[in-house]
Amino acid sequence: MPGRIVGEPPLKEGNVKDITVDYRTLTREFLERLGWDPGTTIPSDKNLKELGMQFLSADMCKIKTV
Amino acid sequence: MANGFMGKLLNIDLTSGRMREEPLDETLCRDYVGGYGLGARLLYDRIPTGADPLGPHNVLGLLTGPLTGTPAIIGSRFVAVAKSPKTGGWGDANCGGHFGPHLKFAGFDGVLFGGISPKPVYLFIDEGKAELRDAGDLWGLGVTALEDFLVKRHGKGIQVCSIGPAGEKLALTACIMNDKERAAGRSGLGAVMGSKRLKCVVVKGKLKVPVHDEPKMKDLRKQYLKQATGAFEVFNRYGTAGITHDAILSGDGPVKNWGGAGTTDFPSERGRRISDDAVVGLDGYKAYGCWHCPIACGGKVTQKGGRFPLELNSGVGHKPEYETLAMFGSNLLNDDLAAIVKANELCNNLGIDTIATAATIAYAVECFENGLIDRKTTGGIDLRWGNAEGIVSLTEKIGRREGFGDVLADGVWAAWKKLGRIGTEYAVHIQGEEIPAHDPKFTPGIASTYWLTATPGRHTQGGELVAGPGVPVPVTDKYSYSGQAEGHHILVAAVEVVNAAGLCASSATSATPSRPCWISFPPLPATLGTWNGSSRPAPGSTPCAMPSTCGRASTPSPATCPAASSASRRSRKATSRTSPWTTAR
Repeated sequence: MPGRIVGEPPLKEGNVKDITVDYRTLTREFLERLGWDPGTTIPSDKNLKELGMQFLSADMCKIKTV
Repeated sequence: MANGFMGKLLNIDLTSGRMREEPLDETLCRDYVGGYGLGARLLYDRIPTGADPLGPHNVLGLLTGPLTGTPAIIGSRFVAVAKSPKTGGWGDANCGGHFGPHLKFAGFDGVLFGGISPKPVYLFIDEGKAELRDAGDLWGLGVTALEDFLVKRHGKGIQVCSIGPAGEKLALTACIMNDKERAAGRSGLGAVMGSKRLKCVVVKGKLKVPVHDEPKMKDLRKQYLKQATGAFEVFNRYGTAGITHDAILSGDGPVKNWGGAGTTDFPSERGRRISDDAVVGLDGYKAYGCWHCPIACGGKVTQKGGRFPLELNSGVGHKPEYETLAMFGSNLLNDDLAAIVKANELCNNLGIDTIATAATIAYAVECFENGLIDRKTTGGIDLRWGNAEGIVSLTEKIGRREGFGDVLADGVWAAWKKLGRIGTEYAVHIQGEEIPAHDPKFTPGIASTYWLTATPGRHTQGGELVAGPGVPVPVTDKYSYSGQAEGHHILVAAVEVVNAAGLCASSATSATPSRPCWISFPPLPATLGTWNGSSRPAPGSTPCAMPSTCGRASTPSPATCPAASSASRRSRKATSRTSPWTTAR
């Protein structure tokens, strides 16, 4: 993530001064809600099954082992 | 075949020139809606692991959605899909104009290109009959001259999507153009089309898109237009140019390559010069609309004299929209509107993405200002903040891959590598994709979208948009970072369905907060008929819960329209700081 767009470091002037976006929390909670691994963004088997997308499982396993 | 679809895809192997019609699988349509939903599923099987995005194994698809070319409001869209040479991952780029509907009227829901043609070619589809033709005489033409020439050859009534010289030269900033100045801009897909030596696709036809209940669709269209009266006033008058001034001041718009603040570095009087009334006040301003769009947010302007005369179309060009105004304007500390209009013409004619091009110039300017590169590197250009001539001249060089433009033509990430990894802090991109003109410090939710979407660094994938009718979005403080997942999920899901259906997300999410209305959704059931006959979950119902899309055709009343709650969700802090306009797209 480019630091400038999330305020790392924050701007010292303007309407969004002093703001640092905690995008790590935003993205982690979003992935958790989807049932995807917050570390790798890989969907869980349960999630794929719910979606009827088990055809992805084999490739997801391959990615996990890389 | 499901209603809303022509029922056919056209597969073309450019290496051999062989073409194959393929019936569109109804189950696939029900599961993946259309557009990039369908594209992702098809390409997942068809592009082998490890394929070079600019090699023969990549597949380039041009696909429509079930609402494209129907009486649905704003059903003007098509999408280009392929493995992106820019990010190395999934790529797609959405485009309005007239090509999408006419691809369906010519008989196909989509066209998929594999292989690499031994010589430049173009595809001509005349109402169901497709042929590959020699494009030797078209190669090298700018988008404007190309379309003019093709109209002479094939007559009026054709629609063209094409690449300019930049795509031919595999510039990763290259886009796919339609109607001369509408762009499928992101993901570098113009380079994929160029790598296949495919100059353009020309479509012609008058077939009708089958729908479940046409009178009902037309009636719904009328109802929603009536209900939406006033909702699109600002959007109708200015297009996205209307938000430029406010966005720059609020912190939504980028200033000085994302390192500055609007209030101090690009104050109000400068912002006014490249925003709303200044843009529609340009000579000869005339509204432009995509196919059957009642909003017509685009516009054309005339610029014949001055320092930056337009040279094509008798001096008439499309007005720049917000992304172009902010990226070529405040992000480069440039308040010369005529220069932005000119840069816009150059980008469109040479076929390069205005966001990527201006972002890459901003990186180069900051390197120059900080002494990391000098005039020797830039080919003599005094590349300073706000140097309008320098910006315009460099834009043309990028589009033609000439001189220093060749270094910048593949975008920020590639330029950073080619220049010896200098000015890392100034190279603002995610995985090679430059960031569009919406700052997460103003809309934190979009940070998730930029970071997580398959096409990183893009503002049209939810995260800051509005949801559809019957979809409650929780009201939260936008700066409280925990607890946003549910709302974000709903917003992303909503826009995924809109995009896949072939609708215009920009128009559909651009009602003002005071008159929120989501007018595109309800025609979906009238187009498709019931989606519940199959035992599978309706498309979009998981993980993107959108039951209202598929199960209901009710008219949302303004009072219950959830866009209201979503707008208030995002503007809770923003409204006290700035005009409400900056919270809506």
